[in-house]
Amino acid sequence: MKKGYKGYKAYQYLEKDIDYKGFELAKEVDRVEPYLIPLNPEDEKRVENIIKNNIVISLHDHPIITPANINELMDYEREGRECTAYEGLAHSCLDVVFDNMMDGTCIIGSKAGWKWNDVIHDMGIRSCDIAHQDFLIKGSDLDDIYKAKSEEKIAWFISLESATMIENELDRIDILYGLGARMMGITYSESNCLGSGLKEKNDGGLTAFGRQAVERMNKVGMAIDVSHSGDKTTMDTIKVSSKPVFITHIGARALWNMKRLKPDDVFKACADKGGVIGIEAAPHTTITKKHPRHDIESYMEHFEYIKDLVGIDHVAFGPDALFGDHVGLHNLFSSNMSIAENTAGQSFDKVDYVKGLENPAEASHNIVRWLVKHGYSDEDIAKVLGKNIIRVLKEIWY
Amino acid sequence: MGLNKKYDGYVAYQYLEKDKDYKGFKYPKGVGRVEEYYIPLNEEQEKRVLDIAEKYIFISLHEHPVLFPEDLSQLPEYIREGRQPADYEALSKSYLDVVFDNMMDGVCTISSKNGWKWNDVLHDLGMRLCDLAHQSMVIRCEKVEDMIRAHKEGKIALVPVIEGAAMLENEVDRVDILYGFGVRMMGITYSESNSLGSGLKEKNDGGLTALGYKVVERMNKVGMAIDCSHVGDKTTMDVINASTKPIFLSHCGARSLWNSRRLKPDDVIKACADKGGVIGIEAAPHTTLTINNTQHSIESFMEHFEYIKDMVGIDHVAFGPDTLYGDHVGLHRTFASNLSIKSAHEGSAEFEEVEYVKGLENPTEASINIVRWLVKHNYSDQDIEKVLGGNTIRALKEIWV
Repeated sequence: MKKGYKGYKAYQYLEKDIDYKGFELAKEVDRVEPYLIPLNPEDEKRVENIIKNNIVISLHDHPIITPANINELMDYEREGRECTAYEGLAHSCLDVVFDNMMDGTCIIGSKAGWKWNDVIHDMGIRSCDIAHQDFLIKGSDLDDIYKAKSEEKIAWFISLESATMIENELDRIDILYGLGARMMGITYSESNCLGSGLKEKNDGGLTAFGRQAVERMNKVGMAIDVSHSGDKTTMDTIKVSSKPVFITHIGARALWNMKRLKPDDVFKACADKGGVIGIEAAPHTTITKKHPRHDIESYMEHFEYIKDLVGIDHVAFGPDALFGDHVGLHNLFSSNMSIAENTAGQSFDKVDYVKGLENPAEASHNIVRWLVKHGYSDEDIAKVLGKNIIRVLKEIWY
Repeated sequence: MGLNKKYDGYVAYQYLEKDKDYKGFKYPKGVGRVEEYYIPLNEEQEKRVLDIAEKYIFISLHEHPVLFPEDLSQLPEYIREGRQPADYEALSKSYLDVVFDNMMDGVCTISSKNGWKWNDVLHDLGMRLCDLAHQSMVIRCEKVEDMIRAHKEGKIALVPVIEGAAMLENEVDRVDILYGFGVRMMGITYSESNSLGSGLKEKNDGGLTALGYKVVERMNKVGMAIDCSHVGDKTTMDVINASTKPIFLSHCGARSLWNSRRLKPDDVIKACADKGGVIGIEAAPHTTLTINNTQHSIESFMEHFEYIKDMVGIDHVAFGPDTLYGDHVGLHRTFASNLSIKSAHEGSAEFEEVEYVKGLENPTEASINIVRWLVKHNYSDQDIEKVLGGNTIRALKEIWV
């Protein structure tokens, strides 16, 4: 357990069921049978040292707890108070987490989501809760990362998975930055004013407004994520941006042919620009022909494929996990999140959860364990856990 | 380190290209727009002033440390642009270690004629904080420790404040949201009534509403300080009674000295102090006048200070000059209706309109002259420490959780 955690529970500064509607939440630890990759004592020791001596960053996660009864999810989201999994995170080996907030489930005041007011609501409520404890540090620059590492805390950065809510207002990029966002996606899976989402049959590329938005993000110092954008829009963004861009949570379409994953030329372009590609672990994404049942092995096959394609300096991890029933959430939000279009491809085994990567904490440990088990050098492990990301952030952030 | 601020040369919004990314305006000098005035002191007093400025944390409880355009006919356009520029350079020359920045308040008319819209308030807040994130001298103040750090490191801690709660509409959770974005103080109403209670301009004051009670409770729980400066008398008394924590009157004066609605009667000031609260003295043009000093200046301002201090004691007074960088009087003329200037400024007697408040023209000049005046009038170090910052910090330690 991280020593910085002292037992705070989300929203405990208020009175549950008086000030807000409470839900029975899923267990943050051991909700399903835990799985840790078995290692010999020597490797165990190495894992321990690696965690101690390196900055471990998740480029993409949703470290919140869903209701125990996933059918209460819609009511939970409408309450507008997602509960941060402080205890769950204390069981991780993360020093930094990019929290992607409600994203497609941000339906506080609308059915289809992504409204400006709702995104602000989500950011503000979560930030307020975080201001009432000291284990998670609301991050705004690299110093917060080093501070978190030295104090056994976690630097928490707000990412917004799409720019849909800026509508046609460039200045909202400044506003979101001012309110704490440090990374933003160009689109979610659906198109918006900036460009085409990955679900579209036709990708028109980055729009005129999208080009302006990329320029503004560069000037403001907001990192860009193109994980959910269409291929052409992604390529346009990489070209237009004066700074490297991230693909924070993704896998290789060459290994599994579906829209949610990216083709080789996109990865190469991202890496050529100096960017970093984080590997995705949301259920039923990073599968492979060799491993049609989603687990850490199929996940790591994507990691190794992309690493071999673009080099060790351009890969990282963005598991996109949460604390709770992720598969159940996908079923409920299938339409809002364009799940069917995203995952259409070859047939695969449906799982109840992704073994070894079930939540952000389990994922963080097993990623290190897998790398050690497979004989990666200390230097390479340091790069993929954090150094690659920090290198890019130094270029992008102020 | 009240002196020698570590100013890095940053000019507001320089991370963007002026007139390409946003419309630029011509601004007057933040300090020196009009003739500067500093209270004359003897050599020994001069030395004491510098010593005090260095030693003690100086907090302005209420300010608008932004530049307004030189040509005031551009005001509406300037506001609609939604990018008020902080005057970092002018602030670096002040004695302030902490500034409670009250943002656009009644002039927050970015997308509406009458102001106070939720989206506009967030726009203003987010934009200002974005600019802040691109420089190093002014830091965000979220805790008392940030004030101490700023004083130690030659920086200025900025506390975002929203002067009225109208933009909450009927959403209590917006208190949490604003706190999440760094707001650490909020007024219950501006001069006009809202869903929480009655503003000072009203003929009848209905007191704190049912929603107002809920908001006060939520502000207490969240740890957001409450300001009643623009609130009607009855509503203010209700807030003081309802709140479990001390409250602030961040910028006001004594109605006993000058009979205007904008100032507070003795019983309200006493109730605020009895609850452990702090009263900051106001210096916006034509507010803290007195029968002795019908021309607004640092002398009439300090008459209010001393009257309130004598009434409630040195432990409950502070300064919230409510000044800005630019033509404040001209701004009042342009925004007279939005700011309810007429009903707020009707006073005891005829008064001489001034072009600016001598000695308190802007946040920098005000901060320097407040210290000079206290030294000139032989206040003890202990008392000066209290009124500059100690009293405010004591109250905040109870409020900010």
